[in-house]
Amino acid sequence: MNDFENIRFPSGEEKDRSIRMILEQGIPRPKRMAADLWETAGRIGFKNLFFGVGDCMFLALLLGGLLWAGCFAVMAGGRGQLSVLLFLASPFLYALLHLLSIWKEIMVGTYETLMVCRCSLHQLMVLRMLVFGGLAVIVLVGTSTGVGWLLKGSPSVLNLLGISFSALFLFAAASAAAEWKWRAPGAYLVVPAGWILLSLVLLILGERAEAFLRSIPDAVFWIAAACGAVFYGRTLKHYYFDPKEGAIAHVVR
Amino acid sequence: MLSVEHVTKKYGNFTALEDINLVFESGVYGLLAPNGAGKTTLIKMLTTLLFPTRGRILWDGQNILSMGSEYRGLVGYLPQEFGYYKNYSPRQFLRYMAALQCMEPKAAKKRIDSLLELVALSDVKDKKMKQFSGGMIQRVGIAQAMLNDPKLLILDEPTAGLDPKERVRFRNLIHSLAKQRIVILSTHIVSDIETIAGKIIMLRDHALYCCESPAAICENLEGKLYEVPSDTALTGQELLLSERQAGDRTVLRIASDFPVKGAVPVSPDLEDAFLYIYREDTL
Repeated sequence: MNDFENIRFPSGEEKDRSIRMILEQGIPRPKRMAADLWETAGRIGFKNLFFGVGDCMFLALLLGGLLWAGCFAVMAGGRGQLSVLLFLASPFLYALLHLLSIWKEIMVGTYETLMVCRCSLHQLMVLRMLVFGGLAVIVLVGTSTGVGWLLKGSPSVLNLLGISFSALFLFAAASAAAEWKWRAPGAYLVVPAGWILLSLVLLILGERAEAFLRSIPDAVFWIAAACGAVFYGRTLKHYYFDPKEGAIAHVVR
Repeated sequence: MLSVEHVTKKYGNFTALEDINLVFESGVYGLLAPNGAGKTTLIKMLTTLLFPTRGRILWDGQNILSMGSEYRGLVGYLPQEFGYYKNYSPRQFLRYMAALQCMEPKAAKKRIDSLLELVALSDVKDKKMKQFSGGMIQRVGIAQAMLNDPKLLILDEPTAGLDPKERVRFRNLIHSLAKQRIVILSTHIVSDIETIAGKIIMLRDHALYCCESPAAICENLEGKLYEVPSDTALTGQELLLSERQAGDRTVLRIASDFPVKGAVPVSPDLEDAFLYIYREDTL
């Protein structure tokens, strides 16, 4: 009898199982940010999500509240350029929460230590951005509805919400894209600086800017908001999964 | 096992590190070089804070950049300037770090208590860290780096700002933590590592100069080191390394390739070797 006749060859089922296992381990699984984020958030817990940055959140909410109260008073009084103010002020709370929390980690020197944790500061920042975004949306819904109610439906709440959301999501998408693309720590400041510049231009243009924004149909704002939200989500996914250098100070020459 | 293969790091036109090749196995490695030699750049690449411009770093054959969080879970890192939240206690801070290391809360609590005991901070575990001295903060840093029982412990200039007593305590602590893991300790202070490091990595001119045991490094200087009275006039062939008190007089430690008349031959230590190797940088 030949030796090979003693060899026990795998059955069809065993072969299939082996092939399945090789395929499962060999083919990279699609990266699902939402599931991954959910799992991460569950592991670290809501309380730890904002550990050490409570003072930044308080300051941002205070400043945001003051700005919104000022804008609200101006809008409710029918003075100033309502659409311009709403457009410019909408990303304020989100920007402030995001910037202050990063600034704090850099200033106290925890930035690099947290970047080397299993759940890195990078992942933590994405989670924080989403929470800050959600918080900003709630504030904007409240403010726009309040202003719309005070102005008795002219402009409509739908219009006000369209302006707010488009500004918020465009800002958030641009700032996430800047942080993803530019690796320098200063990337956090690029979009806020641009937004301040835009604010100055729109405020200088005054009535002309207001007239321009009023001439834009609601649908355009809503489409811009939807596109901004989709772009934000996609950029955040790249930001979350793409490896990124996390060093602040690079080299002593 | 951690291996660094042909790693180069450039910042624009500036080359911070050139073609570094290293293999790390369990034990303490001292990364010894003057400031600006590229120690921190190497450390930051080992922690994935920086990416190599060329070459790769492998953990058990896998690229550390593609391992992502799995690799970070193996690493404990104490940066050069350890940051902390001054209004929190070490226990609160370590709980937070344990959460970021994805540790189970029960296991984390046990581990935190034992680490606080180990670094002698149990008595102050609930005090705000703003009341702590530099040495105490550094011990919190060690505890956070050890939280996940890392296979690779990386300490960047851990004794900077510590007084001599704290420094000795720190050395003993590292020695006790070094079993069954790779410990990489970057410093420019020779006494920090000469008794605890199994191997010394030296960088010079942004390249690897050597990775050898302290004894092997000192051996290269054997027969070249002398002590002479402090009033001896040195020639161009004699290199002054340091001076020390010998009883009530001061003697000079010099290196020379030729026997020096009236000089006493002495055995080199790691500090002599450091000063000799980096003579252009230090003299």
